[in-house]
Amino acid sequence: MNRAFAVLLWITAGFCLALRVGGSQPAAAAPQDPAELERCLAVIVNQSNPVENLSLAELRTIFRADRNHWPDGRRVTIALREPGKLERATVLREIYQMTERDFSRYFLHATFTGEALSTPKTLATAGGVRKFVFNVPGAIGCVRAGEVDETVKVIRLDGRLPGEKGYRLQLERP
Amino acid sequence: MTEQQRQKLNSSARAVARHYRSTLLLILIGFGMAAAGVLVVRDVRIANREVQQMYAGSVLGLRRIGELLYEAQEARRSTLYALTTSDANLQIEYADQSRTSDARVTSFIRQLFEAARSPAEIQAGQRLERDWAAYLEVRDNVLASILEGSSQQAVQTDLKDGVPTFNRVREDLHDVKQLYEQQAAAQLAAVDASARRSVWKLVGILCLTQLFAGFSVWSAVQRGKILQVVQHSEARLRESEERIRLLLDSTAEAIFGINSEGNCTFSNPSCAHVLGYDRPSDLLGKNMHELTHHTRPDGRAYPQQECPIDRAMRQGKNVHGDQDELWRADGTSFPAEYWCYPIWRGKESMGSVVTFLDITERKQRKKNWSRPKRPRWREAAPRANFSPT
Repeated sequence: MNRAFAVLLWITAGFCLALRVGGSQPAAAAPQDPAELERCLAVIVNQSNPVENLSLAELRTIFRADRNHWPDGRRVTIALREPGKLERATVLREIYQMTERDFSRYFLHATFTGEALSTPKTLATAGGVRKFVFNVPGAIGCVRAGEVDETVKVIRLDGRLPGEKGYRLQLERP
Repeated sequence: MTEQQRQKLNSSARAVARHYRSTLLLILIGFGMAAAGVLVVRDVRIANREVQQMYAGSVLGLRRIGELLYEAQEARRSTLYALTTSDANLQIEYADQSRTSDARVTSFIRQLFEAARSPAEIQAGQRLERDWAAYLEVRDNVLASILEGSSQQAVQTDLKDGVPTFNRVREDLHDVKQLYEQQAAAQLAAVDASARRSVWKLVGILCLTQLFAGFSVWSAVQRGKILQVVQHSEARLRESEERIRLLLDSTAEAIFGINSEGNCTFSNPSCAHVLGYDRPSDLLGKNMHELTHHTRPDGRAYPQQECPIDRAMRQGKNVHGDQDELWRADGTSFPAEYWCYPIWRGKESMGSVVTFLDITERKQRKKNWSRPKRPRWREAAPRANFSPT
């Protein structure tokens, strides 16, 4: 009886492992549902930026100005939407893990102490963010995945593109 | 046909020939003028095409250079405007404007040198493209520095690289402009020369037209004068002919004219009447010797060569005779006294005018007078010692 229970346990564990491994694989064919894309926030960089993938932790260090340069030596410049916008709120929640007030205070301090070379740029529109990233080689920004065009490059977050299962930057529901 | 009629006919024939010559000349001149007109039209078309080519090439090129210079300055101005603000949104707006102008400039440069043919144009185009690409690279760096918030670095980059590169672009544009100006000047000179040629041709045609018009007027005036003279001469001739005809018709003396062949050229009613014809026209064109003088009084044939009238006419002498007989239409004859006067044209005898009289009665009287009866008074007073006078 114990033996049978042990075999069943092994089978279940193997099945669960198989499911786990399959689930952690990035989806080869990402769902391109527009509604799904609208709910995701894409991290975009300049087309000349060699970085393709970042972990959420790395993204956090970049956005918090703990890391001010890209591997190719270019200075990091952050582009964000205006306060009150859903994209900005999502970035603050998921990446900075701060409130708007904390964010302001944080960068005031970082700039004053010289930890941050520049404060994040605040832009009124998603197009503005895109254009900023297009014009500045070391820029990084976040826009809705549906608003991304070919002038910028979307980087993978923990190996996942927006719309793929397990993608972390989901816009919070209003 | 009288000599005068022949002369008139000759004169008319000459007038007709002159008229046809004038018409032929008119047609030839018309063709010449049409050909010259075609040449001028062709020249004008060529000049028009050259102007169009010049406009399409150099003038359009110059205009594009102007637009290009404006857009390049606009691109630079937008870049510099981005320096004047710290608002990222405005900076992005200026960067966008700068890039739009850049795209226009690049497009203009491509259009401008797509049609480049001469080595100088191609070389200038390549230099401009190279310098413009270098400027765009510097501009990108400047924009990036501005957007990153490093205005100081942006200014430094612009002063170090941007200004010299943009000045090179301006110099290139200036060179291209000079190139197009030279081409435009050369083409303008060619068009000017072509237009001058056309003007000279036009002047030539106008001169020809004036000459032709003058000639036509002169010709018309001359023709009018000639016509006036001819009409006057004809009137005088008609008057003269009328007078002569009245004279001939009214005179009792028979008169006819013959030409050098002895054919009748005119006659009067007395002549027709004496010769037994109804009208003078019955005699016209007929050989008068064969008609009226063919037989001698003794009945022998009278050859024309022996006829004193014919001989006198050939010799150009006057002749008078009263020993011959003339023959009537009905075959009877009568003794006639005639006078023959040759008609001269210059030194050549053209014919004769013959007047004659029926001298039957005179002959009879003479015959009677040649054997007079002894007057009665002589019989009454014989041997009187006086004679009649």
